[in-house]
Amino acid sequence: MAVVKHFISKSKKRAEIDEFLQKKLEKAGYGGVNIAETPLGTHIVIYAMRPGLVIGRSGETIRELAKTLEEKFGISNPQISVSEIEVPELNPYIVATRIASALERGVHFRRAGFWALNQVMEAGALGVEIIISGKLRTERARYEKFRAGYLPKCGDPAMKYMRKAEVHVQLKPGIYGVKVRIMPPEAKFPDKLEIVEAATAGTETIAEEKETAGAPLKEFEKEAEEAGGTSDEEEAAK
Amino acid sequence: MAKPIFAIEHLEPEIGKWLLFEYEHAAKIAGKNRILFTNVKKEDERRLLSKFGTVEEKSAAEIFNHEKVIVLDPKAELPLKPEDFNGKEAVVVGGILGDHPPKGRTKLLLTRRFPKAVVRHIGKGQFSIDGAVYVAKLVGEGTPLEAIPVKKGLTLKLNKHGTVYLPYAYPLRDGKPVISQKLVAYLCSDEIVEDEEKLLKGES
Repeated sequence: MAVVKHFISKSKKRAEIDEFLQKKLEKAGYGGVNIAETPLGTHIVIYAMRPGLVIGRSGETIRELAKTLEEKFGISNPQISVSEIEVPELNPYIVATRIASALERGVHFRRAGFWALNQVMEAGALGVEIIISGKLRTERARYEKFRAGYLPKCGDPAMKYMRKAEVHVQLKPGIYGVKVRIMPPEAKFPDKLEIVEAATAGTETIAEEKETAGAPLKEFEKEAEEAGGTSDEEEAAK
Repeated sequence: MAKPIFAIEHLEPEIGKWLLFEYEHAAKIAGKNRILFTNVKKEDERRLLSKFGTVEEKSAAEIFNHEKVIVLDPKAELPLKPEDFNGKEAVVVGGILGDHPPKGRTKLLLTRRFPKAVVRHIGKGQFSIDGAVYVAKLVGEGTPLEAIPVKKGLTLKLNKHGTVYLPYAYPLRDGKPVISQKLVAYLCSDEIVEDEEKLLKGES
């Protein structure tokens, strides 16, 4: 039981850190965190759209962040590094935050959902699912789901490759939840076979010719070394 | 013996289109002469609901003898049975648009006001107002609750990529969920988008 408790408390702490960073680095375009414990300390990689805002002026913000993580969450010797998100549309945090800010601006969630769906698919994702749920004052609670492409929810590829994020947004007439799941383009599926083209006879002969063409030169260089001579390049260097 | 009427205790602060469609469908199921909307405080709302049935400003708790009433509450301990209807004047249904997960507002706003009433549930899950009236009507006519098929959750298709999921319990009639077709059309239309945008901008 102690082992189970240990892993549960670890996951809880991870979720708390994630939530904390999400709030703290909202303007920096926070896109997730990777925490790895090493013998020397804890290595924390923060993914953000604007790494400069995470680092701060002469590293002020990042130092402050390290101090908070150490004191508030009990992380031993945190070493923070920041990584820039190359394709923001493939990051579920960014997509969910963009939808949330669209909702805050008064855009309807159905419009925001379809718009985000197109953005993610155009960025090359294999599949995407966006679920926006909530209740307005004059209505029942409901879920609106937007789905495109191929997105398995269980199995090895889902566990390995699927990226997911959840964001809540408080509006005047009610609260909304935005859940985003993205299957990135680099995901590999065991049921998807790649057929490698067999090497043709012509390419083999060219390769053989190249090898044989280079062989006399190598032999000549060997002989020159044994005789104490130098090659043209060495002479030019001198 | 006269059949009990269905009293829908209006408990929402205002009547939106969603609620209106459920009320209208509930009135269709019960019949105009067997439906009573209670606790309707605003005059314009009373006028609006008078198209579907009788409307009262007073609460059902002030109108009926509590001992002759069945209150439908998802948190009740016992299920509704045909014999519960013996000698009853009304079945009170909460006019509430539910949250998900449910907050138990029926108990808080309705059941507490009927301490001597018979309180019953109509199965697990949160029912729509019209669905609850449909189930109660069938049970009142002698159908056991277990014999009424119920579908948990309903998915409506918007287009190739979008769906709307309603996390409620819907009784089935001829294999199809009992839900107002006007509501289905509204949920899949652009009209709801425009209405909600107005609400989000504080115009409604």
